[in-house]
Amino acid sequence: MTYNRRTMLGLMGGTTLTAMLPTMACAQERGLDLSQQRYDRDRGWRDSVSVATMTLMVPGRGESVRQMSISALETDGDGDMSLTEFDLPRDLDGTKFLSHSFAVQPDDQWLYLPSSGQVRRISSRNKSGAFLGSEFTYEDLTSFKVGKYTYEYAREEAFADQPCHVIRQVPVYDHTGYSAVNVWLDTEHLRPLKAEFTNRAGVHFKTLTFTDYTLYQGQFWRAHTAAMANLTNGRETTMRFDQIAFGVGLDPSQFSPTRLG
Amino acid sequence: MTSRLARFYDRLLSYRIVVLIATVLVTVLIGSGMGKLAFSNDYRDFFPADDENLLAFEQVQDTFVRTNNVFVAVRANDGNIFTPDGLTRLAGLTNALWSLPHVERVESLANHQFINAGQDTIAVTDMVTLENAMTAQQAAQFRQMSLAEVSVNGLLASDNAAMAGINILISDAGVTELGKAEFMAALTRLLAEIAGDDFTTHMTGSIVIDHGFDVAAQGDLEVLYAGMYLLVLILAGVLTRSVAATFGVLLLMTCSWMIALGGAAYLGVKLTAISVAAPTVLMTLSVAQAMHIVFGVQKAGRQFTDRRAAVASSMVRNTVPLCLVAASTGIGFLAIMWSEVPPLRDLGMILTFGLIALLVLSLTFLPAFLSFFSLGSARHMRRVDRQMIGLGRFVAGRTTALAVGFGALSLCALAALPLNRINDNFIEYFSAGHIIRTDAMAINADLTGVHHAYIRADAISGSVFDPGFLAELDEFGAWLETQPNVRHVTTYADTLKRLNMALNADDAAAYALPDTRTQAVELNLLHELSLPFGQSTESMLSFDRDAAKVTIVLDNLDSSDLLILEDAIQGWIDTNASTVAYGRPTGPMSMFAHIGQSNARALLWSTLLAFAAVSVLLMIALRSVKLGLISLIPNTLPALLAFGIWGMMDGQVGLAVSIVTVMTFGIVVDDTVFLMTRFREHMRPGDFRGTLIRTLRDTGRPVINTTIILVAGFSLLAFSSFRLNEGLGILTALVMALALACDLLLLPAVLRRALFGADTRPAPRAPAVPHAAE
Repeated sequence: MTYNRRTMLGLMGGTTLTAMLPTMACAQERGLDLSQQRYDRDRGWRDSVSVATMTLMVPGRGESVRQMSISALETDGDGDMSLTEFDLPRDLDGTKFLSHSFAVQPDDQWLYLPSSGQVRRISSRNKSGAFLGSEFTYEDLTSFKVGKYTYEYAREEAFADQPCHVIRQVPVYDHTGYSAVNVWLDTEHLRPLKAEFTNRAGVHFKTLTFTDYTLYQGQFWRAHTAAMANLTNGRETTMRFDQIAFGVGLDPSQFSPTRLG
Repeated sequence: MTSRLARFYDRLLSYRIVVLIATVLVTVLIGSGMGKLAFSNDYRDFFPADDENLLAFEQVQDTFVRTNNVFVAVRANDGNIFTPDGLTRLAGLTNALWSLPHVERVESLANHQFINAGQDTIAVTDMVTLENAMTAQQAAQFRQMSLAEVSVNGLLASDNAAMAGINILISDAGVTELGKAEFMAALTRLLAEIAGDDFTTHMTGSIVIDHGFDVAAQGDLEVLYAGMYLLVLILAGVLTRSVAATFGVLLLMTCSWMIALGGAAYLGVKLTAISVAAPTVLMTLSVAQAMHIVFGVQKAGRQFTDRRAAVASSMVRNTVPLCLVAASTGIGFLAIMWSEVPPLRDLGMILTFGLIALLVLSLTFLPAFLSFFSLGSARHMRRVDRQMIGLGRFVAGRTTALAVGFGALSLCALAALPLNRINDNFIEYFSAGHIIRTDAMAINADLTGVHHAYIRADAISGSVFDPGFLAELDEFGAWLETQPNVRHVTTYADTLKRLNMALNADDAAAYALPDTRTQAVELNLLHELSLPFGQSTESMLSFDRDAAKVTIVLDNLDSSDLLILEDAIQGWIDTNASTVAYGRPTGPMSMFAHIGQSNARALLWSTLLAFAAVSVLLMIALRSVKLGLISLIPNTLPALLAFGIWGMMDGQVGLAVSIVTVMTFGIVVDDTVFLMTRFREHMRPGDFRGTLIRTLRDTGRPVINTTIILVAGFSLLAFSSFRLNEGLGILTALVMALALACDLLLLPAVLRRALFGADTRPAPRAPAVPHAAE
């Protein structure tokens, strides 16, 4: 994370140091505060299931589809657990991916391989590689945790006809692919509507937009579509979530690696 | 005709101020387009849109991750890079490279994803981290592990452990000229920080070589081309003894450039490394045209005291041959325009444009301009005249001997023609001491190859996880490894084999392809879920998993050797393909190897066609089939002889050298047309010697002046550190010098035999009075 520290120091350097400190502290506080609110509003969903359909689009080359069923369990600690069962491509049928996620420390991940009946643990320091060849990385798909980033309130700005807070998030966990993520949260519900990802060279190279929000159980907003556009290569991946259900009574033991097979 | 021309020039010169103003206006008007002139660095502009090599490359680029690479090597001067210090530096450099502009991915020992097997774990991970420095013992273990890995040894680390490689992939935005310059500046700074007493760095790759071309071409443009133009103008002044003539040449070429390039810009033409030759070609033509006209004015100055009358007289004498030269040269340029290669088409168009502008300007602006000045002294003209008479006597006195001598030498040179081959070696375009060449050679010698080729392999079954497909891919890779000039081959089969071994507790016996499709799919998923930022299997597999990319790392090799390898690959495919549909081998090096071939072939054919057309034109103009056919000798022989000599000197005919025929076409034709039309004009039956002397007195001097000026100018290019320009300079100078030699030594004998028949006896040696013999 040397890069980020350097950027911060650069920002703070020079004669503007004294003048900027109060404003910066204020912006950081406000960013953190809003993000904490965002997190708090989404607590208490306990468990959920959904079917995710990922469509990879390559200009001039057509589309390719991956499909998976996702079960998720909220925990009291700083992370959630999720179990992904692959349906498409058919070659992956029966393969399961289990993840225990944490805010800062690397996630625990296991893969169940049906052909050999084996469960393999995966080193998850690398969460920033392309997920199934898509424009998403595993990093993009893990749940939001306050401790994952430092925050800075940037500005208020409308997006998709809704007034939004723009918050600059800088990852504090290791092995990230991003130097910063700018997130647009609508002022009313603090739902993410858009995220812009900046790579290590400081270039904004991916944009994620969330659409089709639906309110579940009167409390939990879920976007049915997430579209990631890669500005460097023109490729795009959309992820559609269907059959979303909450409180289906998932058993924590289902999320144990020994029970995968 | 003559009287009509005289009336035309009379009127033109009385409105000379108007002519000058009109010239300035037209030049500025059309030349203003030059502001819009774009320079293209895009290799796509070198190919017709439907070219199969271009399509193959584009397909690979679209299907897999686009690759524009820079390769950096770090050498530990004590012979071992696997030390805590060496590895930490490598990790630091790898990390820093990520933040350079346009970088999409960096691969090195420090972030290479080693596949490790644990009890129940597969770890795909980088071994060197900045946070935890290795101990000396760990570094030694890491050395053993790295060198045992096929994906590392000979690519990211040298077998002797002294050198480590870092492969940097750059996005397409980094391939523009500005992007390249920006990236290279940042990279150079970074490498300077890391190098020192203990470490040496080298770099190569398509971007480095490309950027090197840009810099070298720019440097030559600023120093050598500037020097060449200066020398040309100075020599023009010295040889004509006239400052006005020098300025005439300068203005003539400047205006014709502006009109040609401005006009081309309006038509949306983008300049390429090939079409930038246009201004130089126009310069040569400007010199030739101006020399004829200026000499004519100077000669007429002895008869007319009125400057305008002298200019008009010269113009009346020269208009017809000048038009004939322009028409002939125009045929040559049109022939280039018909070629299939887009940059050559553009070059042909710019030149045709420039030629028309040049002809109009020589017939209007130049006489108007010259009529304001007194051109040179009578003493100078008398000396010139004496020289030409002497030359005429010398040649006429020993026609046969000269022709036989020249013919014998010609045969030797012609015999060496087959020594030439169409070939480019992009690294060797730089002279021996050039950093780009020494870096590439160091990397090539100690670590890995410097060129890359790619082959798209489609699975006929529709899935790359099909065991039959993988087996054939593996076999293909193994065969490729055995081919000459192939340094390293990467296929997805290797990755799967390594994963399979890891899944079986790193048992070397399990280094084999998975047995079933399901197993292959699972291994792939395991791999995909474990990759770090910037990495995806997209660099090796298509997004719908129906095609795989084979990457071949090649030695620094000649383009002709690459084409031989490509043929061998096609041969293997023809006999062995069953589950795989292969694309053509492709890549930047391959593309330019094919460009070199198609350019050279296109130029050869269009030049031959043009020479044939020129001889037909001369048949009509001179009203003689015989003379038209004879013109083929002085027109074609110089280039053939020059390439014969080139065959003995070097023999590599590449992209730049093949342009020599275009560069010299106009001048060679100019010499021939003037000498032959004047010879025909001055011909008196039975008086070969007198005819030759009168011809040389009339037109010998401008032809010789043009040759001296241009040969000297182009010889300067031979000092370029950029071998493209060096070869171009040497060959162009050679062709022009040989054209003059051919016109003075061989052509007289041929004309004598053809037009004077058997009744001419060899003239006696050294007669006292002109016209005394015969």
